[in-house]
Amino acid sequence: MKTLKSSTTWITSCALALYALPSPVHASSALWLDDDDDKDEEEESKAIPEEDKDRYFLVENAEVHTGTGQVLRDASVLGKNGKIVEIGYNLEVPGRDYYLDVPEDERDFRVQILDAKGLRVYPGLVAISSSGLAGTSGDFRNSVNPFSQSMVLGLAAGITSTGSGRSAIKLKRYMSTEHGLPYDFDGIVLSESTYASMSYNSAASKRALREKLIAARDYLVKYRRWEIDVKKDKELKEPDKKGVDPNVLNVLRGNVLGRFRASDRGDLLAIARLAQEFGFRPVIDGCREGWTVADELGRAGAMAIITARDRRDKNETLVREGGSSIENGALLAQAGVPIAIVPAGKGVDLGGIVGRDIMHLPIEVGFAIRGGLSEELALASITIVPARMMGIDHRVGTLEVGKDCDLIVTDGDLLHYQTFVQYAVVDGEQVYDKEDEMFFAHIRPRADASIAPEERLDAGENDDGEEESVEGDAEEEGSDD
Amino acid sequence: MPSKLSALTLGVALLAMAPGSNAQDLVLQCGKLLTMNSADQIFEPGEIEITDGKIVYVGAPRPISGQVEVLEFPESWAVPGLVDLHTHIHTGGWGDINDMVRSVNPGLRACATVRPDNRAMRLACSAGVTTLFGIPGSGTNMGGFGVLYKTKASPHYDAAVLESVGGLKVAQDSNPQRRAGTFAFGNNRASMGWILEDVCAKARGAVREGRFDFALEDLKKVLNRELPILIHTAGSEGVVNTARMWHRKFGTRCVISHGSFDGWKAAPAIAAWGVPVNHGPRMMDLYSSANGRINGGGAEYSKAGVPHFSLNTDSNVIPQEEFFLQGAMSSRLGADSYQMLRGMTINPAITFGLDDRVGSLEEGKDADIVLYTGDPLDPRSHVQRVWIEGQLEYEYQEGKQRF
Repeated sequence: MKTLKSSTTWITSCALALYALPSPVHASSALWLDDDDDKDEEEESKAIPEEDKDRYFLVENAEVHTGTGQVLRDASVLGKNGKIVEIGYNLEVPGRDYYLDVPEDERDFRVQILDAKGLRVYPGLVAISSSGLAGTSGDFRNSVNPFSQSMVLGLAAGITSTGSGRSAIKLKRYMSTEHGLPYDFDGIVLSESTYASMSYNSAASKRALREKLIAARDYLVKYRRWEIDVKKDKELKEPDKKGVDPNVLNVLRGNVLGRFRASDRGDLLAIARLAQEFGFRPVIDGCREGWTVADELGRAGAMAIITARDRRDKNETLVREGGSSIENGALLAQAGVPIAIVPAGKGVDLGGIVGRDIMHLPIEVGFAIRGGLSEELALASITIVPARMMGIDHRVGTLEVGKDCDLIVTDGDLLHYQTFVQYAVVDGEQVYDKEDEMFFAHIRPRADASIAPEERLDAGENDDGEEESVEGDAEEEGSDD
Repeated sequence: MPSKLSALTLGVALLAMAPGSNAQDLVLQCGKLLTMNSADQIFEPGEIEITDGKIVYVGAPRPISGQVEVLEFPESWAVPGLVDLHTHIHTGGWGDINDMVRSVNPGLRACATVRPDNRAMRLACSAGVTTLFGIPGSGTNMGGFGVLYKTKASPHYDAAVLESVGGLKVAQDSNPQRRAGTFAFGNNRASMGWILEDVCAKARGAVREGRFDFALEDLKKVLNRELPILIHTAGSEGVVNTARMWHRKFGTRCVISHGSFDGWKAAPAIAAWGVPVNHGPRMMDLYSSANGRINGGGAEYSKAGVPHFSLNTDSNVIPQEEFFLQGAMSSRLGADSYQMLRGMTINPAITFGLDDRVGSLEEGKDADIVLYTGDPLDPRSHVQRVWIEGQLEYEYQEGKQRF
C-alpha cells in the first residue's frame, strides 16, 4: 500500500528549491517497507518513518500579501506540519540553518524551500461554491480522485478551498502518496455543514420559515430558563425539542449561517427584516438588486454572494431602481455588507469560452473593481469572506500564524489578466507547479517570467510607455500595480 | 457653447451636456493616446481635436489656443472605439437572426431587423464598442447580408447605420449541419460545399450573362469583390476548406470567423494564403491537443502571421459589452496585449474596408473615441466617456455606471 521514497527525491523534485542534499541512502529506506520492528532494531537504523517526521515548508523572497491588508516585501512564510508558524523576514529553517550535521535520513523532519524571488504570495483562494473540482458532493471521502484533471485546474486557478454542496473541501492532490504517506481522505473535508439552507421566496415558504423561527426562538427562551432553573432543581428536564427545526435552531444559536437565495429587492428587504426580528446574520446568495437596498442589508448584518457580471435588465414598468448593476459589489461593501464573489460558471469549462468559469475568480472580481470595489475587498471576496461565510475562517482565507499553510505563488498582481498561479501549496505541501503540468507550462514559461516578466499593458502609473512594451523590452522588476 | 472655458469649469460644463446632444467641436487631452495607426503611434500625453464629428488633429498636446473647449483627462487612456465583426445584437435579442427560407439565402438582409439604440447596443456603447457588423445566424449555409452600424443613441436608422448591406454571412461548418430536418439536402461538409458552390456558380453565371437576378444581386457584388464575406467555420479542416473555396477558388474578400477548436492548427496555411481571421467567441482549445496544452487561438493565429487578425464576441454568446475581455483572455493565453487591441480596432476595420472611417485615431477619421481609466483590456478599468462621430454617447456617473 505504501510506496516509500526518500525525502531527498521530494526536495530535489521541486524546481526552484535552493536546497539540495547528498544522494539518498536507499538501503535504509528500504527497511521502512518492513513492518517487523525487531528487524529494524537488529539493523540499528536511526531512520525515521515519514509519518513521524516534522514537515517544514518555507517560501521566501516573495512579496507576501497576507490577505489581512498587509504586504511584506522580500518576506517569507514558514509552515510546519501543515500550519503557518511564522511570517516575516529571513526566517530560519532546520536543515539549512541548523541541524546541518544530522545525516539526512536520520533527520526527524523534511524541508521544502521555495525561492519566490520576483513572485508574489497570496492566501489560497476560497471559492464560495464550485462544482466538480473534487469528488461528489455528499461523500467526498469516498468519491475524491486525487489525480483528477479538475483538481489540477482548480489549483491552477489558485483555488485551494471551495464550497461544494453543503461541504467545504480542500483541493489536496496525490502529494502524500508521493512521500510515502497514504492519501489524506479525511483532510479533504474542512466542514460538512457550512450553511443551513433557508427557503424564503414563495408565500408558503415565507410562512413556513417564520413558523420555524418562532418555534426555535420559543425553544431557546425555554432552554435559557431551564439553564437557570436546573441549578436549583437538578431533576428538572430539558425542554422538549419536538417540532423544533434543528437547522433553524442552529442558525439562531449562531452555530451555522443561514443561507438564502434571493435577488429581488422585495425578497431582500423581507430577509433583512426577518434577520433583524430574529437576530441572525443572513447570507444572501444572488443578491442581484442588493445595491438598491444596500443600507437596509448592511443594518441587518447581511452578507452577500454575488456574480459581478450578473446581468438582468431593470423592469421598466416599475418606477423604482432595479435589475443588475456593475456597482452592486461596491455599493454593498460601502454599506458594510461583506461580499463573496463567484463567477456565473461554477465548474471548469474547457469548451473554448475563456474567462467565465470557476477558473477565473480574479477576472470576475476585476469586474467588481470596475464597478468601484476596492482591490483589498476584492481579494477578500475570494479569500477570507467566503471562508467566514462557510465557518472555515479559522483554518483558511488569510495568511496568519496558526492557520493552515494554504497559499499560492503568482508571477504578478493576482488581479491582472495575464497573471498565472505558479505554485499552489495546501497544508504546507506543494500540490501544483505550473511548469510541471501540461496545461499552461508553455505560456510565458517561468524561466522568462521570474527574470524578465512579460511586458504588460498595465494600467499602472509607473508605465514605461506602450511602444516599449510592444517591443518586449526586458524589465528588471515585476510590475507594480 | 462659450469658447473660453477654464479647465476647472469644464467638468461642470460637461455634466450639463447630456449624451445625445449635438456633436461638439472640442480638444481632448489625455494621459495616453493609442492611435492604433499603421505606425503604432502612442502619445503620452496625447491630444485629439474634433471638428464636425471628425478628427482634425492627433498628437502631442499643443498650447491651448482658447478657440475650442478643452477637456483634460491627465490620467486616462484614449483609444479608438472598438469594432466587432461577428455580432447579433442588432435585433435587440436572439430573435430574428435566423430566417431559414432556403438552405442558402443570399437574398436576405439583416438590415430589415435592426432596432437602433436597443438596450444591448446601449450597453455595448458604454463598454466602448462603437462599430458593429450585425449578421444573420448560422442556421443555414448562407444566412444573408449583414448590416454595418454604430452604437449611437439614435433611434433613427439612417443616423446609426453605416452600410445597410455591409457584407455576406456564410456558415460552412457545424451549426448549419443541424438543419432541423427542414431541407432534403445532405448535412455534411461535402454537401455544404456543394450547396455553396452551386449558388456561387449561379451568381457568376448571372454576372457573365449580364442577367438581373433579384435573389443574387448582392451575391454578385461579393464575387466581384465589392463586398466582404464573414464565414462561420471551425476546425482545422473546416478553416482550410473555407479558405480554399472562398479565397483561392472564388477570390472573394473573405474573413474566416470563429476558426475555433483546432482551427489554429491551420494558421500557418491561412497565413501563407493571406486570409484574415476573425477569432472567437471560443478562444482556447484543449480537446485537440495531443500534449495536454491549453492553446490560445489568439496567440497561435497571430504568431503564425495571419493578416489583420481580429477578435469577436458572437454576441450574445459573449455579451457585447465584454468584447475587451476576448482580448484580455487571448493575451492571458499567450498573445500580445497590444496586438489583441489592434484585433478589436484597426484590423477588423481594414478587413471590412472601414478603415477610412473607423478603427484608429487619425486625422480625417470619425471621432469615435473611448476614454478609459487605464488599460482597456483590464476588467478593472472602466469607461469614462464615449464619443461617436464627435457626439458624447456615454458618460460615467457614480451610482449610475452602466458597465
